[in-house]
Amino acid sequence: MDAAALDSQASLLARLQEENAQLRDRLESAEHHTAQTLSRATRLSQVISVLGQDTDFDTVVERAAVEVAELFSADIALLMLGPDDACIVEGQWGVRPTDIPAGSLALEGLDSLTSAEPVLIGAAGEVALPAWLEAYSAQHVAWARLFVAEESLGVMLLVRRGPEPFERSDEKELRAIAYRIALAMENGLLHRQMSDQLARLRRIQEFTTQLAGTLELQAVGKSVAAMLVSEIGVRASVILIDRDGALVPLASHGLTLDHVPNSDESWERFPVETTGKPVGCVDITGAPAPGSEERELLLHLLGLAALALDKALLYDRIHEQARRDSLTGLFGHRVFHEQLEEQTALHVPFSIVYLDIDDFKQINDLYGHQTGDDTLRLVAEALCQGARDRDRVFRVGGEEFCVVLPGVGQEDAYKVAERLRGNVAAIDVPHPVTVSLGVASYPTHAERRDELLASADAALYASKRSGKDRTSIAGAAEAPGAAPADRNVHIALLHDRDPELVAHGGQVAAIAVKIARALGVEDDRLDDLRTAAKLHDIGKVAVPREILDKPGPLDEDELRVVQTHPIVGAELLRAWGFPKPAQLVLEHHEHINGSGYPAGLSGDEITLEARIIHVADAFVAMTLDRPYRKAMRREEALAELERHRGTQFDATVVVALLELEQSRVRAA
Amino acid sequence: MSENVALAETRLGGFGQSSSAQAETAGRDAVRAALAGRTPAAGDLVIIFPNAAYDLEALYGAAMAEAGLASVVGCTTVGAFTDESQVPFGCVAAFLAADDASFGVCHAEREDADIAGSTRRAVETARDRAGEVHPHSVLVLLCDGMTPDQRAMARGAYEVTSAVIPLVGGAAGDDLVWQKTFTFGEGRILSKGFVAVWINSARPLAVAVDHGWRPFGKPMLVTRAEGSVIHELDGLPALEAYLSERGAALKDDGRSFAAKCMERPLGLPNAHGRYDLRGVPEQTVVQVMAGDAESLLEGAARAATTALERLGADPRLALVFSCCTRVPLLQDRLDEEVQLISSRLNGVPAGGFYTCGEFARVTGSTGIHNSSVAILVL
Repeated sequence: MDAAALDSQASLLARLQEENAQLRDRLESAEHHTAQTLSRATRLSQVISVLGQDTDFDTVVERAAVEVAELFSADIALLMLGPDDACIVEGQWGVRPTDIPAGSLALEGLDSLTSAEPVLIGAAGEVALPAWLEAYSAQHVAWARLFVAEESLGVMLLVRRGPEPFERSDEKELRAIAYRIALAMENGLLHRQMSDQLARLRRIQEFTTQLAGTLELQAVGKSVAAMLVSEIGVRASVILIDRDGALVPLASHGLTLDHVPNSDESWERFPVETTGKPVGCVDITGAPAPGSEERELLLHLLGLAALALDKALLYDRIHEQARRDSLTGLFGHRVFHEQLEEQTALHVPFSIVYLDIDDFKQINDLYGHQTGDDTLRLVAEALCQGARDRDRVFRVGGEEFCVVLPGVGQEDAYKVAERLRGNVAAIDVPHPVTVSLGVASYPTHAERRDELLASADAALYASKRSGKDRTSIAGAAEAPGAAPADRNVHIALLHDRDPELVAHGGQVAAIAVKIARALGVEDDRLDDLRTAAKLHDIGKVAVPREILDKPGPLDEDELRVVQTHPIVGAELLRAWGFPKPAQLVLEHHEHINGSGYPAGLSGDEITLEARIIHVADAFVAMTLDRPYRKAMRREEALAELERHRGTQFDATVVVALLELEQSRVRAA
Repeated sequence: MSENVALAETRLGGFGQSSSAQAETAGRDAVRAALAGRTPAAGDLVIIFPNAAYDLEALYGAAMAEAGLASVVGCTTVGAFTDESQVPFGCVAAFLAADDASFGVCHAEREDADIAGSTRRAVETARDRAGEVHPHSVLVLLCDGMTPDQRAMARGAYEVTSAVIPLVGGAAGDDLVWQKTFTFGEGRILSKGFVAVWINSARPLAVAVDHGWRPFGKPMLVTRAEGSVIHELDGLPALEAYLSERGAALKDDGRSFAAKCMERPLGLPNAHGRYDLRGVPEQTVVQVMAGDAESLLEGAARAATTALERLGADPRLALVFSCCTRVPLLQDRLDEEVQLISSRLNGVPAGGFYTCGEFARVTGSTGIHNSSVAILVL
């Protein structure tokens, strides 16, 4: 091949290579153009597809930011809602959350973004950019306003950090995509509002259900107060309830119950009532404006609250009544123990006064149960009047009461107890009412509830043993039982008042001891028998003289008074330290057939010695002159005993007396 | 040093590898080779890329023992490489001295219900652990290859890096069995984990990504997709549409659509007129991409050149994350990819592993790639 041919071929090759290179450039250019066109053509549908997959607002804005950044090869995408001078970043891609200023932001230089020209693109420096994005080295910026039907929801910002600018051809897609994003965001906002409302309705339904199941007044109050703040968004609420016409704070939220509203706080009072019946009211600060949807919801909730509070108040009353003694109105045994438990748990000094009405059974027996009930009521009143405001009075048993004295030591407690005793003694009733009291103090006498109670109880019984109508302090040396000298004094006093009675007692004792010996009663039982027989009528000191001396038969009331003397006698003997003789005195008018008094005992239920005293007493009484009749002869008396043998009198005892009398006559 | 250990090192660090079948030996020798006689100090970093078939406890233990005070992270792979050799079975190790950098490591369990959130928290921890502030930063992310939504992971990372800090990394492999992959870090091995390594450096760092695929055939619309799974293209079953587009050259041989896509991936045109290889949501236009060894090597070279431009300084070492789908096309020219990258970067040591998804974000995209090669130049 010659040189020319070679040159020609070389030239051809060079031309082909050049053409090839040109073709490759064209191909690449075509590919590049095709790719851009394809990318642009599908951006909108991609965004619509992605935005259509979610309705939750947060997800919509988050996905929109990511997708738009990717589709426009942007490093940063921001979706900001609200007016330009107070917008909030709702979704973003490419910015550290800590770089976004807290709260609402003011955007400047976006006035040119109108519904006719909603897109603005350009190089950073030529187009506005928030100062807090300066550190991101933005090269190119695109703004698009998010319009829905001429209304601006906010703006979208895209930032490229690389050298490739946004192109004019991007504008149309940006405008269309901004519109789609605005629609999706509006839908998302509506969805969010609906979801919020649905969630709120659920919460209100749960609240209603919870209220319906809550009976405790305090819990209802707290729930309502909290609900008003959490659901309605009021600043603070105070629930007040109607107690006997006065409004009493029950619960609050957003402030303490003792908070006094300042004059600069706008408080509104909302009445709470059911079918016109006032239940209470709610004080609210920050209540929604009248006519607003929130205000309607508030009123709706207050309606629910009224029903719940009314029910809780009813429950409270029933509960309170159940805890109180219906007769005296005082709290009962269970509440007393709760109170004592609580008081003990505080670990601060306090005292209790335990008291018991003296000889209450007598009052019931003599004057009837109505009088007994009246007495209990009057004693309760007297105790309440004598107690301080902070003290609490309880009826803990039939005729037993207890007063809890917070913060009071034993000495002051003693003074309170004496004051209470005085109050009771001053009760204006036909029959005398006295109380015996026992004082115990925490922690002086005991640190545990039961031990403290036992201490007070022991002190009370010390008062009883010491003669009643007095106060004893727990642990103090107990007043000893009546000394023999004291007994003699009592008997001497009795003798002065009723010498016949003392003489009669001596006669009965002499005969009773004889009968007992005849019946084989052991010697060690004879002392008690003698004492009982001597003093068997000592209870008559409580019987008015005019009844005892009344000529002629007694009427029913008088008889009832007289019939108290075994009880009074027994109590006296017990107080003097003669428990066994006391029992015999108590039973000495019981009949063998159960027709006697005071307990209606029969047969072996009656102690043998009491049966003996009964026979001896009857025999001596029949053979003595009485105001209402002359004395019988001994034979007549024995015949009378014989007649009532096995009904009123123990047959064995009567037989023993008959035999003794026969022996005496024979001996004479 | 064992006979099949090669060495490359610079002042910053270097790579080493071992093809020993013994786990302990492979771990120990690869790290030893990467150290090249240097004694690691506290704050230094060692990254390992072993095959998943090893006794990983033994391998990781030996690697940590050899690494001394350095922190050891890594993940299992379908194969790894250095600029000196391919390691289809074995362990590659990279040593990065903390001379003028600080490394913050966080190895965490992925929370599938909140992938973005769990990633964000771990990346924040890594950033905080990096502590010392240097002007240049990058986040390296190595994740379980079975991560259901790598995009969510990138999103979580992006919340911390923002647009400013580049992201690079890749997903672990298990010899293409697709059963279980593992990540290493903080002394433990996780099967559903990810490692975040936050690098702060006094010297510039650069990330670049490219692929070398070109569009082939007509555009198709993704008409139905769920997550990263495409069900329909142009209203037809995805495989059917895909096969018809590739023509008679490809028969339906029973392999799945996903397997076919590894040979000829789907590309998405982007706003800059280039094609991304990434996850494809519905309503996206895609095109089957074609490539050969030559074009893929050109792509790798472009990535290296871009990285060098972005670095604007002398490079010292390159970490390479090359997609495992590139391996069949490169075949006997596989060595050339990493060697080309090294040569374009002034011959610095380069190494890395074949990934099952790449992370690389500098500007624009969300940072998830397929069938691409991503490079971190230090």
